[in-house]
Amino acid sequence: MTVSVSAAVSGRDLSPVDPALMPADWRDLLALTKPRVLTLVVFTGLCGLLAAPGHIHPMLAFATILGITLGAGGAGALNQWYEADRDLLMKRTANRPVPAGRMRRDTALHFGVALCVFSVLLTYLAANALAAAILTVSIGYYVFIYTMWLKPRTPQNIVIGGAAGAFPPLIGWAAVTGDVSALPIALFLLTFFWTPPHFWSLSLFVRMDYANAGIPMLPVVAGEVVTRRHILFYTAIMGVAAMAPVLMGLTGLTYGITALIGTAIFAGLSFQVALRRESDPANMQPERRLFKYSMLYLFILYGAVVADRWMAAA
Amino acid sequence: MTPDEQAAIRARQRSRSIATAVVLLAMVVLFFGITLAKLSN
Repeated sequence: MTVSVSAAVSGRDLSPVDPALMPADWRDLLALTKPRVLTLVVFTGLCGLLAAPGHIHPMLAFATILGITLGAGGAGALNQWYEADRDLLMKRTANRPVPAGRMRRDTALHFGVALCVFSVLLTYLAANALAAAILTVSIGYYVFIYTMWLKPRTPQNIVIGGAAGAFPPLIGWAAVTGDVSALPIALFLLTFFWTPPHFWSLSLFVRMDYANAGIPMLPVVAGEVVTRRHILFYTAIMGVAAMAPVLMGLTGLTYGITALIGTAIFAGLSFQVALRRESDPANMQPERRLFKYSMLYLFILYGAVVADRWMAAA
Repeated sequence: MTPDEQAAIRARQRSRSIATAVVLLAMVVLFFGITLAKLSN
């Protein structure tokens, strides 16, 4: 029986049959797409589409969101293909299909490439060339700039790499209008500056995982105190980005009040995290709270943008 | 290869074939829907 690449990667074979011979299970193919991350991508893309002025046929809107979803899923699969060795060293990721030895590594590569190509073609057919081009850039940014270049090299990986997850509202907006204007760019910046406090709060309580895998996350390289200060610093910039749409007159008070309250709570939680000197992950409840709240925060603000735009149009 | 291993591979192939058929059918419906939407526009 041949030894598969993934078995060699993992050094163990968890399935009863060698994965080199075993066709990949569809559930493992689904897991390659990182379904939980997709939720945020789909929601922000949908909000960009719903907030845009103009009309798009519901079927084309659905196909565009499907294109964004498949593109993000394909990029996630390529990330798991490339990072299989490192994923094996982290508790949080060791059970992914490739490092766990349930799937051949090249299956993940082929699946990821197929999804990415199909997603771009679908977005082009359903929306327009600009939306498809932004999707292509976002996939390339996530796979080549973030996964392959930045992540293993610099503790600023999250800061620069955060752009990859900020593209969906631009794609949704471009699908309706055929261009990109100030509001989707403001939403892009909001997600871009939201990413560092979101991921650094997570990295504080899973830093040993990153250290074991040799990933230079900020708490591993610069220490926890610096990370906590950075969280507060980027929360301040994120706050400016969050208030920018209302200050620039792009949205109304519905969004403005929601953003003000939501950002004040975010800042309060970040301040609490910044003042702490706790290093035991078991006692990092405020850090976990900030991480969870940051996800809710983004959902609420994007929802508020759509509500605001719809109320203004009514 | 043992009979158990062969059976496991057959079962996985069957499950993948069904999943592939569902995806292909969904694509047919999707592209039909896109075409109708484009025509109506």
